[in-house]
Amino acid sequence: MDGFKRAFRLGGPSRNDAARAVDEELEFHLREAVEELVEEGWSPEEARAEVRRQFGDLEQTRSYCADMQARHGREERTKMTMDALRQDLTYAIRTLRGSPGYVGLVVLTLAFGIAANTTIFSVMNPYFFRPLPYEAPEELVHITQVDKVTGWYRDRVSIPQYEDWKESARALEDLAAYTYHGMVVTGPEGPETVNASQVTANMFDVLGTEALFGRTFLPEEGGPAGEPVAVLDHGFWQRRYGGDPTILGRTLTLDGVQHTVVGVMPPEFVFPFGGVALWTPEPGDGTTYERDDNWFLLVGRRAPGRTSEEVDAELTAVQARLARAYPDADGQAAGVTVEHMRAALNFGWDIMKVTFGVLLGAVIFVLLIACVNVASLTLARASTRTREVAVRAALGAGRGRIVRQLFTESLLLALTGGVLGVLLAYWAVGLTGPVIPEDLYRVGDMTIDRTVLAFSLVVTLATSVVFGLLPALRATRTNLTEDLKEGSRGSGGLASARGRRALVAIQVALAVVLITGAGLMLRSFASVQQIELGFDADRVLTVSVRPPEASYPAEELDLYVQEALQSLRAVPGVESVSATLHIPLNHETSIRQFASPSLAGAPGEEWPTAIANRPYPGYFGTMGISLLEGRDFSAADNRDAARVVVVNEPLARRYWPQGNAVGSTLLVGDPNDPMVATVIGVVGGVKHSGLDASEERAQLYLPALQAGLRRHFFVVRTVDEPASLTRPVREALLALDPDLPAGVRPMSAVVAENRLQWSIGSVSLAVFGTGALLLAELGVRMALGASRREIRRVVVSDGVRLTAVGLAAGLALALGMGKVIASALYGVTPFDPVTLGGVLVLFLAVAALASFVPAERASRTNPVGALRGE
Amino acid sequence: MSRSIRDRSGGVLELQDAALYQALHRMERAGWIEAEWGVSEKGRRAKFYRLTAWGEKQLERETSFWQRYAEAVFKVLEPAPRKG
Repeated sequence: MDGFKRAFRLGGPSRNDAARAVDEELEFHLREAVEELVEEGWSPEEARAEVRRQFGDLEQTRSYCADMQARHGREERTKMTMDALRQDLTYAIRTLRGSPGYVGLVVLTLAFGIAANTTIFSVMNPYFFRPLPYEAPEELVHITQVDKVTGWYRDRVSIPQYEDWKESARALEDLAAYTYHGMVVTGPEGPETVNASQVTANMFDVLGTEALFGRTFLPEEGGPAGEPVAVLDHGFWQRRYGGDPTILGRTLTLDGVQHTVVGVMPPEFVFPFGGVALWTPEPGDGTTYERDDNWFLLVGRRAPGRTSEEVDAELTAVQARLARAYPDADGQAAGVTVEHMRAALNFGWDIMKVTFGVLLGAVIFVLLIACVNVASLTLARASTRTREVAVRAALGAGRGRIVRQLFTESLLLALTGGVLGVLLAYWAVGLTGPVIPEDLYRVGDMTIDRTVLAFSLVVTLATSVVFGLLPALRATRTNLTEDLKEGSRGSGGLASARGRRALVAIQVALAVVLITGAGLMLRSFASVQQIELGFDADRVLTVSVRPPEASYPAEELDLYVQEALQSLRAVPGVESVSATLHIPLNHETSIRQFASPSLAGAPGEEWPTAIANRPYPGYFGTMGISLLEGRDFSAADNRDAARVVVVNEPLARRYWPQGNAVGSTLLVGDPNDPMVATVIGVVGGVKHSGLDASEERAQLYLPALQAGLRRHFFVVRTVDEPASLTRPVREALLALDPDLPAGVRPMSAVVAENRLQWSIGSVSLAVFGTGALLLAELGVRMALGASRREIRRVVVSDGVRLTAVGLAAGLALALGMGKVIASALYGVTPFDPVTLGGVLVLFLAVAALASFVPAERASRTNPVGALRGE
Repeated sequence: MSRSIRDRSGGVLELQDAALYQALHRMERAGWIEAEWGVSEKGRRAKFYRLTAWGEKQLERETSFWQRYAEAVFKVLEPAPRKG
């Protein structure tokens, strides 16, 4: 403590020192005065009394003066500290200017480490860490049921089921139901399709969130008797209504029905996913819905002291009891699913968890590498500075003063790196934000995460400061003359050189792990690019429309589609058009059971399932799906015609291995009441539910003309680049109905979104890996810098040996971590020989290069010149 | 110092030592004077006070203020010329 005090506070009188000095001064005065009087002939006693009388209040003066002295000392100290700090800073800047290479490298390394961590954590924060915007979110559970046939574990629930569950569940304080779909908002602000969520009136109470202003729903507003009201999302209110404060009580038209606005939610509120613009009370109840209208998802709040497992056990029992009572409805489910809200609400949870898990691991490696790199750079510099420090110590600089000087220097460097890192992080977060689809559930905006920023700053600052102080400790611990001699040799001590070499090997090992990860990710991305989609995504625009029931009753829907197809076909640059219920890879899949007639009597559970779609004629041609046998749907395949079906090749092969699928009969739909359809064509398989979907997945197509679709997609094949037709296509549809919004999106963008996890993963890892590789190369070069005067052969083999040690350790580590990364890969194993071999060659090449440069210099150096230079 | 004040004021101004010391330390804190320990004529350790540059400026300022103040007081005290 004393040493620290001496180091950071300059000398100056403390309060005790001040009092002592004043006493001494006054004593001197009194003694002098008495002596004078004695010389004039006073007796000593009388002289003393006279002097005291003349002086006045001695005690008061003593304490007053001591106080003044103490204050004076304090001010003086502050001034001197500021002076010293200014001096330290000036000196630090001057010293650092002298080695711009070192400064640049340390600053860049720090910035790289801080930026990588801050960026990844900041991007993850709204999806993974920030608390959900509900009251006590840990008490909330998301409840769905398991589909017996497909095994889909998030199957929806009907309102009659919901009411029974709510009635019987003791482990739940309350239970609410919700669904969502697109709705068209019309009015003076123009038509717009928005995502709207219909909720039971108690939903906001279950979530425990109140309106920012206005109110949420009253109990009587739910069900068939309720008035049509709406609560608005804050962002939607800002964007569409300019934050109009008089919005409460105004009406807005939703799908042609007037709704009164009763409230606006706070900005941070999001449910059930981002971009939901408004909430309306569910107008149905147990009396208006059938038991198998499974359209709803449930949110429950656990009763105090009850666990998710208890909720699960209780609801499973309730569901089993209801399954016996209603075998046709509840009996179709195989149990319940109780999940955490965050995982259940985020569509991309599984994918994001894996991708970001890998990225998280990567940035921790980046941070480690940054620290190791700063440490080895600073150590390398420390050894050359040892002499300078020794000289300063010899000239009389105190240990504290030297420590403070080096501390200032390190801090200055670290802060510069920190500031640069923060700027870099802002830039990178800004780049990453728009790449992630908007409707994934997230809490709040993607902003720089302060905690992580602080954490990375502290870690990197600590590293640079600790290693920056080493020369000062050496200077004060070791023999000055030794250091003066050793420093003159231009290399660090043997021990520090060994330490630095260890650091370089560690750095190489860490970089190997990162580069291996980057290589595997890139290979996955390449495999993903090569997946046969079964359709041609280039030059196709998709247009999502949903004609509202109020303006388009069911019987007029077909007419609208026919007119729309005609106008689209007339747009210049359009090659062909069609429409369908679901486009591939758009995360919408409907599953149907089917059977060949031989299975007709079998129990429903044994019927296989297929992905079903409902295209208009010309869909296969427009999408580039190959028609292998038979024919496409035609305009004649309408409601009045016989039921027909097109199947994909795997389905046809499995059930008609002789190749006689066309013309055969297929039973489709509910096994108790199947539709009997004739197979008219066989098409190639299409990746529908995801890029990694099985090639063998059975798919069947039923004609849209035999159904009538409310919501559907137009698909438009263009002659040239589809982007230029986005506007003409939208305008053609708006000309037909200005109140019907149309969402245009190139099919290639839909495909790219499915590749996102691999593109984000490979780009990020490639950036981190390249950074790490450059730093490692540098590390090797720095470590070899010490042996300039040795001959080329020795230096090169030394560098390669150093790298080989790191390489071996790194590859072992990478193999060990293979399991962790495996789930993030596609089409490549973590032990991919191509990647591992590539890493091996890459690092040996880098090592050779890194060693060759100093070796070249070393071998060209004239030994006499080198000696003189010293 | 107090003797010098007494002598130069013709014995009119008499300063108690207590007041003098308090003033000295106050001025030191203000940075007008600085103190230094030295050895007195009799070979004893004694404290010497010296005006600082800042103190000299302050002295000039205070002196001119005092002069203006004193002149003003004189003017007030002089019998005013009577107006007919």
